[in-house]
Amino acid sequence: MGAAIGIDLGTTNTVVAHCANGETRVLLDETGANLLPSVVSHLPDGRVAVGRDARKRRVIDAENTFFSIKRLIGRQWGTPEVERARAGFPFKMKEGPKKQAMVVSRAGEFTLPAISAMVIKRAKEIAEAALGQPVDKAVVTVPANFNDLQRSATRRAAKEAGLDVLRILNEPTAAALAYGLGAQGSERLAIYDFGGGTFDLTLLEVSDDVVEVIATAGDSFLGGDDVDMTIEGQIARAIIAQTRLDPRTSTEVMALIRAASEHLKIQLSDNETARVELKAIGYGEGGVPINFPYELSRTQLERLAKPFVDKTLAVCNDALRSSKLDLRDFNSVILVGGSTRMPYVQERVEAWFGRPPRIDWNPDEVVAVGAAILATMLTGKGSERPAPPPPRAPAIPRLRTPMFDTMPVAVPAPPPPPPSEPIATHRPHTNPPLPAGPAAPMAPSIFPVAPEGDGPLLIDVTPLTLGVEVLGGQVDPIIARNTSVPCTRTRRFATSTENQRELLLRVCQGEDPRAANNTSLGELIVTELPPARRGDLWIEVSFQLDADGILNVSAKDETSGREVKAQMRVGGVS
Amino acid sequence: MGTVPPRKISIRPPQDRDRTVLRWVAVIDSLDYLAMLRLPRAIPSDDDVRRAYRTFARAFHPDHYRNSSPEIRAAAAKVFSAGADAYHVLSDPMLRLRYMKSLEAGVARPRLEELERASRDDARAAAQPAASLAKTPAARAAADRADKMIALGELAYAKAALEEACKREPENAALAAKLQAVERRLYAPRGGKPR
Repeated sequence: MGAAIGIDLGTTNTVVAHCANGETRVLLDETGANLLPSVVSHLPDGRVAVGRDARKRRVIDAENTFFSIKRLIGRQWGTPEVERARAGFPFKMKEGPKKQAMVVSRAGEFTLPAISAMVIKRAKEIAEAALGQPVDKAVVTVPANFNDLQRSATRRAAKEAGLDVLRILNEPTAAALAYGLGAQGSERLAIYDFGGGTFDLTLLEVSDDVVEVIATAGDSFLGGDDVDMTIEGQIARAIIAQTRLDPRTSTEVMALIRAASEHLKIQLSDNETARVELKAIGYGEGGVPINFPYELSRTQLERLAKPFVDKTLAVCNDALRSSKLDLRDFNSVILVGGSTRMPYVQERVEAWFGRPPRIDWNPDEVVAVGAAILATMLTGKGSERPAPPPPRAPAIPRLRTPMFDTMPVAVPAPPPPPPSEPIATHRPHTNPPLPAGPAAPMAPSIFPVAPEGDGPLLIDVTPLTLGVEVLGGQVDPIIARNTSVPCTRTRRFATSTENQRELLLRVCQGEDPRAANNTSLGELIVTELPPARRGDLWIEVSFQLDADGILNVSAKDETSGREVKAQMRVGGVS
Repeated sequence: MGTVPPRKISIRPPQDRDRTVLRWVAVIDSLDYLAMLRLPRAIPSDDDVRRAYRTFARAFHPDHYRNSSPEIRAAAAKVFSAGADAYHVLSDPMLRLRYMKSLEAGVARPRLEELERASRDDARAAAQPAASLAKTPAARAAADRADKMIALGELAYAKAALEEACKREPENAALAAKLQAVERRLYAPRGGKPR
C-alpha cells in the first residue's frame, strides 16, 4: 500500500507534505526547494517541463507556458471570469466540449484539469523520491469558496495524475488543522488566507480533537496576483511615458514586466525600496537594446495594495456577521498564504483584529501540512481500535404505528422496550421543561462509537449556498452556506402540466438572491415521470453534498416511493 | 474548565457499533431534533446545542466509518445528516423559536423548508415596528409603547411591553418573533469565550 500525502495545489506554487508518526514535514525536491511553481511548459522537443524549469520559460516561450490555471479551473467558457483572465494570459485558449475552457500549445489542446494533473504528477514524483516509497493517495486542497464545478475539476486532475483522492479539503481548514490539533483546551480561530489568486476567511472552533468550521467566506478573484498586475500596469505606463514604446504589444516584454512586478513586491516585504532593471524591452537606433530601470518604494506599494486589502477586510466582516459571533470571541487570527508576508497586510489585519496575528507556521507551507494531517487521519486504522462499552444496554425506541413506515426491514426485531431514562449529561436548565409532545419517539440511548476509537475529527461546512431557480429568476435556497457536510436536503416539486414527463431545475451556487448573479451548476433533469394529472404528482428531489463539497442528486415519486431518474447536465450536456 | 476525566476503554467487537448505527438509522426520521442530539426537552442554550452536536458528530461523522461496509457507511451518513439538520435548526434563534412551537404542537419533524420560510417571515417581522404587526387595538397600544422604548434603547421596557402585546394576541407569530428579537438584543452575550 502506498503512502498518503497532502497537496496544496496553489495558483502560483504547489507544496506537498507527508505526516507519519505524528510528525509532519514538507517534502523537498532534489534541489531542496519546498515550492513547486504551478507552471507547465510544452517544450519544442515534445517534453513537458513542470515547476521552476517551466517558470523560466514564461519569459522566453510565453505562448506554450501555462500558469495560474487554478484561476480558471472548473469555470465555464464564456463566463466573465474566463474572459477577464483570458485577456491577461499570453497563451491561447479555446472552447472545448461541454463549454469547457481549453488551452492550446504547440503540443495540442488540453483541458485545464489535464494541465493541473501535470503539476500534481510532478508533486507526486517529488513525494515518492523524498519518501522512497510509492504514493497513491492524497488530500488535495482548494480555496474554501470553490464551487461544485471547481472542486470536481480539481478532483479529476488528481485522479488523472494517478492519485486516489481522499478528500478535497478547504485550504483554510487545512491551515486550521495544522494550527488547531494539539491545542490545549478549546479555542476559536480566524484564518485569514490571502494567497496568489484567492482570498478566504474561515472561522472555526477547536476543542478536544474536534475541529469545527463555523463559517467561511471568500473571494475567488482576489489575491497577490492582483497586486502584481497593478504594479505591472504602473511599470507599463512608465515605459510608455519615458520611451514611447508600448510594451503591451509584446507578450515577451509583458511576461518580463510581470516577473519584475512580483520580484519588486517580494523585495518590498523586507526592504523600504526595491529596484529592477528590465533588459532589452525594445531596440533603439542601430539595434541598441533599451534597458529600463524601475524603482518602487514600500509606501507606493501600499497605496497600490490598499484597495485589495480593503476588499479582504470587507469579506472578513461579512463572514463574521454570518457566524453571529463577535470578534472578541476569537482567540487568535492566523495568517496563511504568500500575500500575508506583505508587512502592510499584517498591519491592516492587526488593526482590524486588535491583536497581532499569529504566524507560527510558514504561510507557504501550512496548508500542505494540514492536508497531510488529514490524509493521515483518513487512512489511519482508527476504527479498528477498541471502542468503549455503551453506558447501558441499548434502549429500543418506542414507536407509534405511523412511524413504522420508515423502518427498513433489515433491522432486527426490537426486544420489548424498557423504559428509557434521559441521560443526564447536560447542565440543568433554568428554562421550564416543555410539555412532552404526544408522540415522542426516543433516540437510542447510546451513541455507536466513542471518539477515542477514531482519533481526531474534522467537521467542515459548505462555503456557498446551493439553490434552485424559481419563477422570476429568484433563488430558492436549499442548502444554506455554512451547513455541515456531508449534507442531504430534500425539496418537493409538483408537476404543472397534465402527464408531465420531465422536471427541469436550474441549480446554482452563490449568495445573491437572483439566480443570474450566481454560478450556474447546470440543469437537474428528472425524467421518466409516471403519467398523472397536473399537480397530483409530487417529486421529492434530494440534494446531497458530499464531504468534498460535490453535489449528487436523486429523486423519487413521493406517492409511490419509487426512484425516478435524475441527473445533472452541465452547460447543456450531460 | 476542569480536567478531563480519564476515558475507559474496553474491547468490543465492531459489529456492536454497526448494530447501534442501524438502530439509529431505523428511527432517525421520526426523532425530534432534541432527542436526536440527546438534549432535554427544554429550550436549549447555544452552548448546549454546540456541545451536544459535537458529541453527536463524533459518533456519526462518516469519516469515522470509512473502514465500514457501504451499508453502515450510508446509515451513518444518513444519521449524521439528520443531526446536522438538528444543529442547523437549534443553533439559529429564529429557527429554534419556530421549531419549539412546532414541537409543542406535536410535530416532531416539520419540513425544513417550511420552517425556514416561517423563520424568514419572522425575521422580516422582527425588522418592522411592532405596532404594524399588532391586529387588535389593545395589542397595538402595547406594541406602540414597545417601539418607542426600542427607539430609546430601553430594551427591558420594550420587552415588557411586547410581552403584554403578545399576551393580548397569543396567536400572533410576528409579534412573538419581534419579542424574541428584542430579547436576543437584550441578552446578547458579549465577549464570551468558548468552552
